Amino acid sequence: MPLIFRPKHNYLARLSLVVGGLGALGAVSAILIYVRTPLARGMQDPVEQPIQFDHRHHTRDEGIDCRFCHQTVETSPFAGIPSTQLCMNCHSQIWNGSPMLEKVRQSFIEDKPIVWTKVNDVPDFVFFNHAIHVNKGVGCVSCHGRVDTMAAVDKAKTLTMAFCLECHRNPGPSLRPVEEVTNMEWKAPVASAHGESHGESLGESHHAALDPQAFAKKMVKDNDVHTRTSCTTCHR
Amino acid sequence: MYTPAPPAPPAIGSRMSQSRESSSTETESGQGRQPTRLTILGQADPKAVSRRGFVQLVGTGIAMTGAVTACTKPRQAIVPFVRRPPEVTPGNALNFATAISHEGYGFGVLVESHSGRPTKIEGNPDHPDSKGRASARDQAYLLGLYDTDRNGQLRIDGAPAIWKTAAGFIAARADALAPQGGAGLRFLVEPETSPFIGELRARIQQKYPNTRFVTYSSIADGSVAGAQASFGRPLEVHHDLRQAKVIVSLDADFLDDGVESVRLNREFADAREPGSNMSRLYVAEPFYTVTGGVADHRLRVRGSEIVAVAQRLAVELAGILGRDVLGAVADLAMAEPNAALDDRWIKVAARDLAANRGKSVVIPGRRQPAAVHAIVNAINFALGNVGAQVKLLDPIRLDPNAGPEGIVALAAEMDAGKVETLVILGNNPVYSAPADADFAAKLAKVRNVVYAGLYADETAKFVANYIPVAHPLESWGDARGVDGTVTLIQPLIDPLFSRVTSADILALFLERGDRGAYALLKEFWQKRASAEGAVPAGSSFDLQWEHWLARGVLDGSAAPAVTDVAVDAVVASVAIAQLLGARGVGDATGVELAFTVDPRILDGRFGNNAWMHELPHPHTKFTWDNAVVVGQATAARMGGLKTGDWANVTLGGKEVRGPVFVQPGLADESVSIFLGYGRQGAESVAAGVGFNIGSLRSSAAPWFVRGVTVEKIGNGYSFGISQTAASDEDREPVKVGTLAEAMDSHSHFRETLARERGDQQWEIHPPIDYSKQAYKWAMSIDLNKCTGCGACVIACQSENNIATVGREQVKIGREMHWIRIDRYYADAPNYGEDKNKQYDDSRVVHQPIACQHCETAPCEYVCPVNATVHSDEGLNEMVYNRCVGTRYCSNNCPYKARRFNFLDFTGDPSEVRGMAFNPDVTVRSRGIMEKCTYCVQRIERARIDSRVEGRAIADGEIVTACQQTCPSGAIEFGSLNDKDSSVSKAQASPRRYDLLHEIATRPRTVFLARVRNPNPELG
Repeated sequence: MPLIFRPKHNYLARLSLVVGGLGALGAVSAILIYVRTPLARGMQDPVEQPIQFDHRHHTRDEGIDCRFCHQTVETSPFAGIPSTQLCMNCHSQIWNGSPMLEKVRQSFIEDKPIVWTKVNDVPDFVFFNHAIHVNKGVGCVSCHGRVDTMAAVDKAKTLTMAFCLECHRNPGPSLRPVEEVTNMEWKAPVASAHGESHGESLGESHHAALDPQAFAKKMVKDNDVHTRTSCTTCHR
Repeated sequence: MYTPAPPAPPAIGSRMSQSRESSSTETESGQGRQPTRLTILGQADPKAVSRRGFVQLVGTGIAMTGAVTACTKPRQAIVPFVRRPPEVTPGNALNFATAISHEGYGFGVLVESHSGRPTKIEGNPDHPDSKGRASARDQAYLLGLYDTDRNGQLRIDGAPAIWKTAAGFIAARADALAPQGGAGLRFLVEPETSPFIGELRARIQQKYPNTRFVTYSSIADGSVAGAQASFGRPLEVHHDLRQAKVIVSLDADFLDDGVESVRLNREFADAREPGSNMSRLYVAEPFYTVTGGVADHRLRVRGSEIVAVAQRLAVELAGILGRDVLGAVADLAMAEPNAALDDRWIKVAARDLAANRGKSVVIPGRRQPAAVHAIVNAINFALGNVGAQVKLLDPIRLDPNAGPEGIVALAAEMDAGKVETLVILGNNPVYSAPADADFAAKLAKVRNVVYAGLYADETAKFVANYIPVAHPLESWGDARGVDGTVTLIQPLIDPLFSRVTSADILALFLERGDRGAYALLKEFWQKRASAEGAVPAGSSFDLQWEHWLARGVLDGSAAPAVTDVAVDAVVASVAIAQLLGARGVGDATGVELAFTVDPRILDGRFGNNAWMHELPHPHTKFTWDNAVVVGQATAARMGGLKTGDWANVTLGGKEVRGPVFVQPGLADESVSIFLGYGRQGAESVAAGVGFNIGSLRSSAAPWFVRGVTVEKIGNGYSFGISQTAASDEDREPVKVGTLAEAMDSHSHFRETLARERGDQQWEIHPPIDYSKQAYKWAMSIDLNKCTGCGACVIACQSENNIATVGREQVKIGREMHWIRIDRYYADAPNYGEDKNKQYDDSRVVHQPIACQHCETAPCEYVCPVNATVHSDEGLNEMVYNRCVGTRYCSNNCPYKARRFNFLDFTGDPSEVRGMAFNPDVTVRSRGIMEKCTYCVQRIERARIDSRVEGRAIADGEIVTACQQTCPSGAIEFGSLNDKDSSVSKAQASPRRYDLLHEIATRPRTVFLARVRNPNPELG
């Protein structure tokens, strides 16, 4: 009876071991890589809303401050989605016949709220508070990205625990003067090698040019910020 | 990750949906959910999902997960206001002042509201009876609001109907009855203090001169009748313990029963500060109450023989104070000549009372007949306590006589066919009326019965016309407190099920149109305000109204105290002699049955409240049950009755069957049985809990009846007891000393305490220096103030979304309360000693135990996943999202303060029940450990508020839920790094000690030892 496996097949056996091992490793890696992709994290996926609200227009073109609509961001855990009344304050005067605003008018007349879809969400065991972050100089853009350039808002940052901890462990680099929190284009004034200021800020930052570390330190001191990494800071 | 339930093979699918349904309808009932769980776990149920079915299910699930949801979370919705009310900030809670009713009296509360849903009830600091504190029952109203069993079907003529039909029906009856002046019209109502309802009733009485309002409460007291006999005038008698040095309670549970209890608890606790002014408490009672538990001297007396204690006190005091003031009362014939009483106890108490004239008080209990109230009034007057500790007021209640006589007379009228239309507002009389009224049978003889009640209860079953009414937290109204202070009752939420209130129903007899209680109430107060000139110049009524609503009390509405009365002993003795003759106990001998008001569910009105059922009784420690409670000596005499035996209690041919519970501290030859159990209505939580003693209760003897026989008929019943141990095994977790020992710094007591606090030399772990931190959170619990009432347990449960588990789970030690109140009897036998030792006269102590937040916490070293760790400020944190449920931490906790979710006790609550949750606290599911967090959500909220404002957290800014509500103020919380904080001061007390100090856990919660103030003459 001829042999089914000849000595040359040892090569195949070894190869299949290697391929199998690599395959298993690859499969695990693939999962680990996958969960880190924007796809798995639901990022960069503009969410369809009941009304085609364009932040670009309101923020960049009209220069409306975030807090004009997200009124409770400085006083409440929730930033607050504007009430229909707030929309109508302007839109009863301008664009009051626009078909795009039909649903807003309907909501106002029928006294039925507009049901928006949540874009940036954290798990229920995480208690995020907008008020403290905004009051301590964490810019809106730090977590929400350049909302002023989004036609439809998407989730711009991972909002994972690692993302939060990066800042909670070392808050300095993420801080800015409190009056600049809603500025989408603010940049920390940085000192060049020649000691010249390269503050690219469009907002009027009068802070003297400092090296980034010194500026971060100054922000921590000015805004009275501490590292907060106790579990119950967020989980309770 | 949440996976939606996949479509499954039909056979399995139908069963799954069935179990889901039952779990959603029985969220409140831990027992009700039990079979469901077993089905899911596949234990002991032949119909459980088969292996094949299971694999199919899992396969479909995985496929669906991948295909449909692509591993992302389902999107959630945000629903903003259309018009945001200016005062509402989503995410920030608001507090509204309103009142809840205790036997008609209004008790002022603040209700926390998150986005329009009430989530917690706390006392109103501006209300004189509350001063910011609340009892367990007051707080449990919240759960009642979200009780889906309130969703009964309105019925007219037995057919489902709507309120408009009902209103038309009642209006038609009103018109038909008007010509005869309402001759066949009767109203059966609950005790009421509302000026608004009072005016409606007066107008009805005017329009229908022949109608009658019968007030009934099955737990009414005889104090007004007693005042009539002693002072010659119907007066309400209330108490003030601020200056009281000697207090004698005659079957009065004044620390836990009645609307005054919260205030008296505080006043009593303040007067118990060890020192020369420490008060002394004597209690004579048949059954251990909260008040009896903290007594310096307790006398076990059968309820019917309390009158003898009162009479002998009068005799002794007449001897000391002189016969001219009390002689005539003392000379009355002894009502209970055969009562075997401890004469020395009574003599000593009398001497103590007399020695503290004007600074003492005798308080009679609600169960005592009017005669006892009258004798006690005479004693208090003779002692000069009236006006000081005893406050007299003209009746605050519209009809202070709410005893059984009224309802029995009504039943007789119904029987005689004299009642054509009967309107029952609340009360559940079919369940609560005395057995001799035979109310259910008599209802059949009334042509039209309209019953308006919160639940489709026993009474609703017997009537053709049933109207579900709104919960107090959904209604407009008003009520007066004990001192007459008026509070407007405002709704916290749009009615969930029914908007009808009793005012709406009464108004139908007066006018057409059904304007609603709000319009009627506001109109009433507008008229009254203008008549009384209550609106200050420059203001408007609307502004005044807003002010009243915001504050929760009408300024200056307290009734003036009555001071122009006196007790003429000779005149009073004649009236008292009459009352003594009408006491209703008779000459019967034999074992006495005492109908006992359960401090948790009262006479059944909290019967559908899972929080109340699961709160262990302060002394027996059983939950979700009723029992034939027998004293130890009596149980032994009755042929060795044991806890868990079944017994028949027989009286006059009627018998009731119930399990026996042997409990120390009962009067000999008496059994105590709670009212309010064995409910037969449509309430799902109350169903099947305990047995009903109502059939033995008659109007002649509503509280105590002699001549019952207790006969053992079986055994093998097991109670859901939260603490089975009675002895502390001489480890003395609760340190108790006498006043003399507490004042002597070299006493053994003080030296022991000094040894058992502070740092240990041999600690394994070097102490961490917390002094550099901004805060160092800590708590102190003053055991001298703690009465074991359980208000903190419910406050914690409400604040922290703690689940109820049901009797079967309590039996196996799975209750979830973060605070448990331990109870120890000083004389109970230790392990290895004679188990049959009797300790009926033992002292008892209580100790609330929650997580001690040890600095060197044993739980933290053993957690394999770092789910319990220490914060920089010394909190022992529990991280739910890390916990994998090994339970190592609980096993290593020396205080046994941790609770594990063995099952998904909360489950998927109904939408309505889910509204009761505090949004600042995670709702835990199965497999998670949990425990006291020092209300970290309140700490973090205060931290954020203070940091936003750029300041430090002030002392007293963070109040934990238990501290907030504790009626006696036993709990302090704050930062130890602030040397002036109240908790720092409390921890510096010479009475401080650390529990289990010898194991060097460095607990942040410390205890202050209890101090007794015994009379040296009694030892």
